[in-house]
Amino acid sequence: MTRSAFLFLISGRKRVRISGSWLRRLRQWREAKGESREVTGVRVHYWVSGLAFHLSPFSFHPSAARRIAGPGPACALAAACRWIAVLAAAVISIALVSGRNASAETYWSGGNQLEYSLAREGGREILEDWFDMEWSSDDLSAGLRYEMFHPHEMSPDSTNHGIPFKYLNYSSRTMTLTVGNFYTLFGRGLALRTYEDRGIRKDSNLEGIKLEMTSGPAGITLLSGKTLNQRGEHRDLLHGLDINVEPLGFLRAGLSYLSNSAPRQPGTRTHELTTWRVQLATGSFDLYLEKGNRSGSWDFCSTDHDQGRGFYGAVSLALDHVGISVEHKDYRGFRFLQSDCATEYNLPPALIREHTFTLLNRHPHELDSDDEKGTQVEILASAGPLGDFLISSSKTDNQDGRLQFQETYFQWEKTLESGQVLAAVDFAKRPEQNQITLVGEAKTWFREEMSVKAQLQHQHVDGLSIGQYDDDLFLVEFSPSVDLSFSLIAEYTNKSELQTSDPGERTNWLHGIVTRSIGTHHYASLMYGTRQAGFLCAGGVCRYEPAFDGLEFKLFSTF
Amino acid sequence: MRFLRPLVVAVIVLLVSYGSVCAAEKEGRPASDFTLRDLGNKKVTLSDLYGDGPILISLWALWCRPCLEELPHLDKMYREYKDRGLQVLAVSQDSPRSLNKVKSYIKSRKYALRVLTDSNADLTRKFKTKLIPYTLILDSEGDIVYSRTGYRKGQEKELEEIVLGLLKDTQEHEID
Repeated sequence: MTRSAFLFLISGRKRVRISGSWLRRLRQWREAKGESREVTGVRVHYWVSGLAFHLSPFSFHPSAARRIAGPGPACALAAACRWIAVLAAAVISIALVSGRNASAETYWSGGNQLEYSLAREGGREILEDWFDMEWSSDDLSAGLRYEMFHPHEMSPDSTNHGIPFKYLNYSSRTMTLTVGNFYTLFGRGLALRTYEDRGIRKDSNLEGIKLEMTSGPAGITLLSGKTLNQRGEHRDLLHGLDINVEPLGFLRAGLSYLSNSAPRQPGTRTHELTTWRVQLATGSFDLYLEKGNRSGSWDFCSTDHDQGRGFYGAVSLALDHVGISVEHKDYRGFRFLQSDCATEYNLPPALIREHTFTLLNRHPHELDSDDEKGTQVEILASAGPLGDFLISSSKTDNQDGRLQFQETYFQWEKTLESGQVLAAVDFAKRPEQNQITLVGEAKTWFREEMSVKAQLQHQHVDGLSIGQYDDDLFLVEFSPSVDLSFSLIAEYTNKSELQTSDPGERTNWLHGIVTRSIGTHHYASLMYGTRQAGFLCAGGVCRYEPAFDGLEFKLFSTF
Repeated sequence: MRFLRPLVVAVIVLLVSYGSVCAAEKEGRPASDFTLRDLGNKKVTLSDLYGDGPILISLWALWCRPCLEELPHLDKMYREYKDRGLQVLAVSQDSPRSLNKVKSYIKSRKYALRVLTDSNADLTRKFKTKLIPYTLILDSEGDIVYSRTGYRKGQEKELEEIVLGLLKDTQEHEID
């Protein structure tokens, strides 16, 4: 084991009962390092605020944890949590001491994402960076992510940096134990989905402990942890259990249970969510059903419901050259909220098509799992020489039957000898506006690696309050080689010409982007010019990106 | 505070430069093991596939157009070299929102390559990448031989050359 891994785990002030071999190893290591201080003990830190455990299973001291993790609530956990902690300590101890292969090689890997922008007006600079690093050796790994926002793109007045993500992981064929920060998905997200999407600046990682075990056709996941709420605090405590069984090769069933408590909120009770699911999968047919119930509400959240229920069903059918997907959702009061009334633990499927074209993401529908029901049907067909066809239709209503969003999308795509063509049309309807969008794209290859792509998007919007207007976007991209491309994107709208409320509003935007792969491990892009405001969406969650005029540089690296 | 930003940039540049040096050494290290499910709901563990021949892993998603452009080339490569030991794992990074469409997409296009689903995006974190498509080629022992981010037409030739160099009978011919 490397010294850094030891440092990661060890801090010694309090004397605890440990085996002689542990002390000998530690003394030898300290002596080799040139340290003369007497080693008095070993302690494994567990980073959840207000919760710590030692290697000795009965020396559980929440107050000690407060010294480590800063001010936090006293641990309000019952025996289950304590046993998870004890188990974690035991597993790490066993893995580190008895089960380790002395000759195991260690590896470092990492990645970096750098984003810099300089606005032409006012000279405002934003520098953001995410630096990931992982150490691994045999079945153990440890890692961290350093983040720096100077300032944060989402809140320009806030400059900060730190290590919000760090973990220690032990993984074998039948068991995975993670202590620190982690992401989790139960089922298809009706119960729990914590994830990171930097494009929309979303990170809902849990800080705590997770244990996954499998035995034959059964699997179980236990977790306990906290996630940052919208105020930037680790306040509520979540416990989770997920069980999976596969009685037959093609049949899978599961159950998830979650309980959330806010120890610092007076007069509140534990909130619970339970879901069960069944999945049937054969070669050409898939059926997935998941149903859940939620109970408990925060008295101070005006939008929170006492009870809630959710259902998601999906069928996927594959015929000869044709694929059909049918999904249905029914969510009523199903947001599983933290006590800040805004941060959700669950993210059920939204049943809205994820688009790649800019204008189709201009007016997105954001999922409201408190009050939605709807269906989505998608048919894909490969018609050989005629090309590939895609038809997608979705409709979402409120529980009382009022239309929230309706969309029909049709796409045709054909690959030619030396190029590719695509045409798409999209009709979308909301209570307050209708829109139609047309997309055309042609791509051709001149030589083996040289290509030119042209794309035109046109959108007509007819809004109740904002009136009618059109938006046109033209993109041309030239790639002289496989690792270099130049793009020019122009956009024009007559919105301000038709609506005299703000005649000074910009009507056209033009920006260029150069992308370059540097070797196989770095990817850089440089953008300069003006870019229209719009939404970036992922998985039904959207982020508004304001209009931009200036220079933007991004560098992605893996090593 | 004015000098903080250039200082941070300098540190990042240094780290990335150091990473570039390390990246040259990335090839040759074993790939992190993982277990995911295929479209038939069967568990697939990477280390169980070692020994038969090279393994090509591609992280893709339905919303990623370069990924969809790359898939037919990977499928063609798989059909051509599967009898010589090549295994191709196309790992879908689609969120639960799009998961149901993955099977219908793959089946409608009659792809033969093995598709796994990773809707929790565990592999992008394991491989420390934020961009897809991300392609890895492992030798039959599970050591990383090649890794690359992105796809543009023409890059499939580079992949094919590397795969050809790793196929069992190619190596046997060279020994002969």
